[in-house]
Parts: sequence; structure tokens; C-alpha cells
Amino acid sequence: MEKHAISLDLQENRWEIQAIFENCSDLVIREFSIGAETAVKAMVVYIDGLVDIKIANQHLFKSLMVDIWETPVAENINQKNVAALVKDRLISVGELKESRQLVELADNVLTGEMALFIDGQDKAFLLGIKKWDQRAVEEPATETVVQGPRDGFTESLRTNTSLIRRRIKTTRLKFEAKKVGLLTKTDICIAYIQGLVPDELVEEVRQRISRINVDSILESGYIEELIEDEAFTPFSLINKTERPDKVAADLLEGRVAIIVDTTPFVLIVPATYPQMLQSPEDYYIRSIFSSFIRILRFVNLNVALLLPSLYVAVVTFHQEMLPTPLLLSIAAAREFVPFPAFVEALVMELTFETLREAGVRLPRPFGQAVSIVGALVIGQAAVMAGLVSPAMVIIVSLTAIANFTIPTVAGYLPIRLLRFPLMFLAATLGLFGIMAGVMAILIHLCSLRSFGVPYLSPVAPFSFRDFKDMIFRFPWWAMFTRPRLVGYKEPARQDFHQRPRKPEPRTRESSGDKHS
Amino acid sequence: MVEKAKISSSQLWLLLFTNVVATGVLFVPAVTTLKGKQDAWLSIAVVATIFGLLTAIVISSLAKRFPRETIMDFSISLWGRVLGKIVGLLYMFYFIHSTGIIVRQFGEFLVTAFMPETPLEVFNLVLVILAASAVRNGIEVIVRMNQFVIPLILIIFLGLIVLGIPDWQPEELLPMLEKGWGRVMEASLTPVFWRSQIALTLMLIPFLNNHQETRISLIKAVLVIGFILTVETMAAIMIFGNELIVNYVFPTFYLARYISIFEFVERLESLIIVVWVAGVTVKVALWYYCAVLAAAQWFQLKNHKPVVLPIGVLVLYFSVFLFANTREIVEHLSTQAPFLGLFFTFVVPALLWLTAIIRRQGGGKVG
Repeated sequence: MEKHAISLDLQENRWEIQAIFENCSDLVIREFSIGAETAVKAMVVYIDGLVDIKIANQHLFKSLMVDIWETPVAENINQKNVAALVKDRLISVGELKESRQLVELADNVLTGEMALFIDGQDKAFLLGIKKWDQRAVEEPATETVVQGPRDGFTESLRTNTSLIRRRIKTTRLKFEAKKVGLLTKTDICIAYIQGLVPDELVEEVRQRISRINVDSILESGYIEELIEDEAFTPFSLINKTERPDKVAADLLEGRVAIIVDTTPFVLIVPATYPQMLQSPEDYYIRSIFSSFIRILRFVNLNVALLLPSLYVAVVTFHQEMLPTPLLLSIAAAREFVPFPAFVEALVMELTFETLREAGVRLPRPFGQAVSIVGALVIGQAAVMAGLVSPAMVIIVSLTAIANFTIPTVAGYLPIRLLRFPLMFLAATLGLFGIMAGVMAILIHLCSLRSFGVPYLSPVAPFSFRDFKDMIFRFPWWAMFTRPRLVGYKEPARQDFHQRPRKPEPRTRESSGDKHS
Repeated sequence: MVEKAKISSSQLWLLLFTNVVATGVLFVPAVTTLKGKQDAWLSIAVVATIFGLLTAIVISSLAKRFPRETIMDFSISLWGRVLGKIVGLLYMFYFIHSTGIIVRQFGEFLVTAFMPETPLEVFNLVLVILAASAVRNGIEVIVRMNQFVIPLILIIFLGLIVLGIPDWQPEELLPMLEKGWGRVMEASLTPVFWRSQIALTLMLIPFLNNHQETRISLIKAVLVIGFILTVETMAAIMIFGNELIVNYVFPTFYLARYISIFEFVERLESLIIVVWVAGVTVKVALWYYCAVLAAAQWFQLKNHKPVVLPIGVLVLYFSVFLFANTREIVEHLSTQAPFLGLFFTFVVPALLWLTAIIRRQGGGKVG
């Protein structure tokens, strides 16, 4: 499409617009006149459903066509002064821009702005009165907390930035706007706090985003896969969240958030794996308890990853490791099972994954039916029929429950996946196989970086300072510094000596004095 | 330089710790006790430590003089192009050869003590593949991997020692210095050789980000390793006595078999082996990396990745065909290996250092 300048002739503009928007049935063009004897023709163009029609009626149509008669200016409106008058006195809309290019104007109309053409003007006004039907701010479905804020992001970029801005009221919080996607022209927004965030990091984010050249961005997952450091890895190198409090906390650590229009999921970089084992709630409940929860999660992470393969290895190769009574009861349970432990474990794990996938996508009533089928038919019947041992059912359920304690999707997906190769290694090489697999995972994890930050920091490379927010969560008065590798531009977070202390006991005399 | 990477001083000594201890705890107690009897721990605690400190001083002095070079570079600048290249080639073969031996040691150990029906080649292959993937990713990955593995090693090691305390018979350590220091010196060959493996630092000098602290971290490594190996050997002697211990190739492993918690948690040896796999992976990866780096520098490559595969094949070859059985390895480790090792880890570096002092080379541009 060549660059058209807006013509002085209104009719010509109308034909152009109609040509550009041919067959777009949601386009509305409305012509009317401003003023009396020397009336000036005008035209409004917008996409139905994207503009706030109430505001348009009230502040544009009504003021230009009706209210104008109550003002003294109405009499002497003519082609010369009309533009200035309309802009300065007649349209009572906050956001108003001018455009001289038809293509640019069409783009803006498509985002929900209303274009006002006036005869004899080679420019058009663009009124920012976007409004469309959208979901209200609701509790995020993927990351629920017991204690803590309940608002979650929505599909609207503006709502999302406002949710963050409400939490960080400083001009240092920047929202850089960009558009990505040839056809979708999706608005995205790079959020960071100037001075906290390393400049190289922001520059890197900008560059990686400007390198994107695709026709469509429908969700932040598209962006994620286009800008991450390493393409082939089961681990997410970018954090994804629906929670504004989490984004705010990460921005305050010196990270960068990427907000994408039309999705409630905001990306945060750089990300580390330990972060994915943390929930925002850890920071709101008492620190002793959240430390306990974190240790529990760490244990469960290992259970979820290793339990099935340990079972396979021990039952197949290392029976001597089990205490005799336990060995006897497992052997008794497995007596009639026709499969080797590996097949048994593989089938049960796959069944569980199938059940879970079936349950997630189905409407809620069906979902319950699936869980009943799963629990009764697969669990009980299979055991009674002697196809699997009760021990295996326990192992699978424990693994599943342990998996559910990992608070983020990005945290547990790789674990779910890596269980299977580990089970295979356990079946072929026993404990040595498991350990080799774990080392392979470790080597892989150690080689990963997210926007330059090692994925396993602060464990490897080790940073003693950052352990205050790792396995333990120190109380807030002890969170003196930001993470070493992201917040190094302004490492100090707060003053020392803020630990609450017992108040001095009031002496009897002074308290007595007050009351007497 | 072939790779851009940074190693901090604490990462360095932790790396050297794993490098020595990972196989040291398995082999050193038995071989040392064979000659030193109940005084074996003195060889480890005193003689090997003194020697280790000497090595540390030589290496750190070289590091100070040539902060941006590995031994491949400064052997050339000190001894001339021809002799320097020959030294480099020898080192390259030494690293490949040693990596092969380390892989073999551990594979042998796994077969003997753990899974006798699985062929040795399988373990060797798995270990070399693991190490190769770490080496491909560079020294930083090995260093970080080590930081993850160290707590695991320490927990298992401390558990082993503490849980064995009830079975200790301190009288097994008596009489002390029965045959005087002569026997102690004689027995100290293996532990000295093991401790001198900290000389691998010679290949890592350009990566160190704090040359002021190199000497301190080397000394730290020597002392901590000495402590761990001494405690380990004393515990083994006190539990088995010096008569019995020599029958075991891997006494540490049998220590684990001894342990029983509430008569419920027993036979922990499998678990311990598993943790050792982690330590040995780091060790093999480190030696393998040095071999690869040496080769890359010798052939003047810009990137170390192309040589990873050929050297891996060589390592695997050595690990399988160098020895016929466990006896031969033990034989090699207690007779030839120490001399070969000391030549490369102490003699050559010391000569290089002397040359540097005499010719006043290497301004010590401490960076």
C-alpha cells in the first residue's frame, strides 16, 4: 500500500477509506456538518466495537451537532477556523492526535481510535476513545495464593500496565511501547525501573524483540520462543506470570517485564530455575513458615523427578538396599504382577499423564467423571486384577502430588518430562543410570543462561548473599540487597538495623505519671 | 585464548578439592596403608601436605608471572619454540592418558563393587559422554557443576565418618611411628602424587579472575584435601585395622557397608557410589577439558569444540585397553603413575619456574 497523504477534499478521502477498508463490514463512516450558513462538512470513521460509542455520542456528535448552537462560536464557523475551533473548544476528549497519512490513520483506526475528517483539511484528528468488551480483573487461575493480592492480569495491555503502575509509583518505572507482528500488529510493552535494571539488559531485550519478524503474535508464548537464549531445552528460560505483584517484585529486583497485548501472561527476564520454585506467597507469610515450605518444595522436586526411577532401579537391580521387612512386603505385592518394574512404572506414569491431560481440557462435569474413572477403574481395578502392584500406585500418586507442590508451570513441566528418560536409564543401568541422567541434566542446567544470567544462580555460580532468598526466605528486614547478577546497579535495597526489637519496658513511675 | 571464562578463587579451590578427593578417597587409603601400615595417615597428613604446599607455591608463582598464559604458552616463551612445543605435546598426551586412567579406575570400581555383570565399557562410555557434554560447554559449566556436587560429597563423606564412629578402635593406630619416619616417607608416594594433581591449575591460569588469591586458594585446597584424606584413612584403619585393610581395594566402600542406622537403614554403599559418580564426572570433565584445551592450543585452534570428539575417542580407548584388570591398575597407581605424575605436576613446572627466575621473565603483570 503506497503512502497516501490525506486529501483536502472530503469526498476523495471517503473513497480512499472505502477502498482501503473494502468488505470490512465492521467499519462505520458517518458524515455530518459543523456550523450553520458556512457549514463545514465532516466525517467520522471508526471500527464498530472498538470505540466507546457512548463517549463518541456525548463528546463528539452531540457537541458538534447539538451543543454547538448554545455556544457563540457556532455563528462564524468557516473552513478556515473550523479545525482550531473543533480541536480547542468543541471536542471534549482527552486523547487527541493528528494524522496526515491515510495508511497511518488506517492503522490507528484499526487499534480502536476514531478518525474525524473535516472538509478542506489535509489532516484528520484521531480520538483515543478505545473501548471493547473485556474480562474484568479477576483472580489469576494459574497462580493462586491464600494470603496476598487477588488481582490478576487481563487481556488488555493498558489494564495490565495500570496494575503495575498502581504498585510502583515512580517515574523511574518505564513502559516502552513496541509493535510486533506484520498482520496482528500486537502492542507489546517493555517495563523496567530505570537505574535498577542494567542498561545492557534493556538494550538486549529491545534488540531481541526488534529482531522478531513474524506475521502474528497471539500470545506471549510466541515472543518467549523467539527471544530465549537456547532453543532446544525442556526448561523455560523466561518466567511467565499472571500476577502483577510478582511482576512488580521482579521489576524491583532489577529485571525486565515484557507485557503483550491480548494475553494475561507477562514475561519476565532474566529468569532462573530457583525462581520457578518460588511463589509470591512466600514473601507474604511469615518467613519461618515460607522457609519450611521452600525446603518441602525442594524435597518434592526431587521426589517428583526421581521417585519412579528409584523404584524401578531398586526393584530391578538393588534389592539389597531395602530393609528386609520392606523388601518382603514389596516382593509380596509384586508377586502376581506380570510385568517387569520398568514396564509397570512406565504404563502407570503414562496413564496418569493421560488422565491429567484428559481432565484439564474437559469441561468441569466431564473432568470429574475422568477422575472417577482414573481413581476407581485404573487404580483399584488394575491392582485387584493383579496388573500393577499397590506399591506402584502409591509411587505414582506420590510423584503426582509432589509434582503439584511446584508452584509454577515453568517449574514442573520439565520435571514431568524428564521423569521418563530417567526411568529408562534406571531400568538399564540402575542407580548408576539415574545418577548419570541427573548429571546430564545438571550439566545442561549449568550451561543454560537467561539473558546472560546463569540459570542456576545463586547456587552455581554460588552467591552467598543471594541465599537469603533461596532455600530460606529471610525476613524482610534482612533483605538488604538485590540479587547480585541482576540488581547490581543499585544493590542496596534498604537500611540495616530495621529488625523490630522489644520496646523498652515502661518504668512504673513514667506510666504512673501519665495516668495520674 | 580459546575460551572466555572466569573462575573465582573460591571456585578454583573447590574444583581442585573435587579433583583430588573424588578418586582419592577410594584409592589412597588402601595403597598407602599397604606400605605405611598404621602410620599411613601420617604420610597423608604430614609428608603429602608439605609436598603439596611446595607444589602450590611453584604453581602460584608461575601463575603470578604469566597471568594470561597456560603452561602450553609459557613453556614456549621460557624454553624456546622447539622445546616448548615438545613439552606441550607431552602434556597433551599426559592429560589424555590420565583421563583414560581416571575413567578406567572408576569404571573398574563400579564393576567390582557394584554391578559385576555389566561390562566395564558401558560405564566408561557413559562417563566419557557425560564429561564430553560438560567439556563442550566449557570450563565455566564444569566449575558450576562442581559447586552443585561439593555439598553432596561433603554430606556423604561426613555421614560416613560420623556414622562409623561407634566402630572405631583407636588402639589400631598404635604403635605410632613403629618403624620411624622412613616407612612414612616410603608410603607417602601415592598420597603425594594425588595431592600434586592440583597442578591442573597450570592449564586454568588465564581463567582465574583474581591472581592475588591464587596462592591462597591453592594452599587452601591442599590443606582441606589433606584433612579429608587423613580423617578418611584414620577411620578406615581404626575400623578395619591395617591387616585387613590391604585386602580391600576400596576400603572406603566397605566402610559404608559397615554402617547401620537403627538396624533399618543399612547397606548404604549403593547410595554412596551414586554420589561418587557425581564427583568423578567433575574430575573426568576437568582432566578431559585440560586435554582438550592443551590440544586446541597446541594445534592453535580458535575454538576447543572440534577436538572434543577425537580426544574423547582416545580417552575411551585408553580407558578400555590400557590395563587388563584391577590388579594392573593398582600396580600402575602405586608404582609408575606417581613418578609419571610428579614429573608433569612438579618437576617440569619447577624447572620452568627456575628458568623464569634466572631469565627474569614474566614481569608478573598481576591482572
